[in-house]
Amino acid sequence: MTNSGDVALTNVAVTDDQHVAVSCPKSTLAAGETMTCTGSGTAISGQYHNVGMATGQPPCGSAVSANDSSWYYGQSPQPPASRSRSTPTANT
Amino acid sequence: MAGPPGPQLPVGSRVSWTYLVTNCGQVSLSNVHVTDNRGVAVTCPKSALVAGEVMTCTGYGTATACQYSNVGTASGAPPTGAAVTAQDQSWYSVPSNPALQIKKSINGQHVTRPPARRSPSARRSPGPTG
Repeated sequence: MTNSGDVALTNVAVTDDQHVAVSCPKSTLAAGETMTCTGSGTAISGQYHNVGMATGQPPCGSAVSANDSSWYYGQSPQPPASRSRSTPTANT
Repeated sequence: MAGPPGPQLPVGSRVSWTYLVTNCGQVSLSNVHVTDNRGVAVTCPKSALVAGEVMTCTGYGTATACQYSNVGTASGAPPTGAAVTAQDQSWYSVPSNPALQIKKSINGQHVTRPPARRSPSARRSPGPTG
């Protein structure tokens, strides 16, 4: 995220509409400053979409925000093309 | 001076305050000085004013964001009795354009639209697969 304005922002944070916990290295951004925040999860099957929203508080006036979406498609594991017979073994 | 917001200044620009101090009484004043409630250091050319005399004191600072105001207080000691004082307030404002941008990536890939509907004849999609 980038502070694209002309004043410093405090209380800078990123939230995710799918409740991904997002960690940012700092909570204040000077004008023009950029930082990278991260979140992680486990891919689920099928179509997935979430929206990240960045917010920050200028020295005066209302908070500013921006959001961006991303998508992925989780593929289900493919069944094996053919099965080979095997002889079970047992531990004794 | 007129009330807020006062003149618009660029953030970070130099601010010059002038304090016009007049001894409007009928006796001389000593130990004349000006203080500022926001900590601006105010310099005056002299510390005594005869009756009717005027001097201009000055202070400097750097414009900070948002609405700003400060109060200058002039004081002086007459030959007898308590010190006399006078105050005046001034204002300036610094317009700002706060804004944020965010670019969200997934596994390092920035996706700008959802994947196409998947079908046997269209297995590829713009979104990453997991």
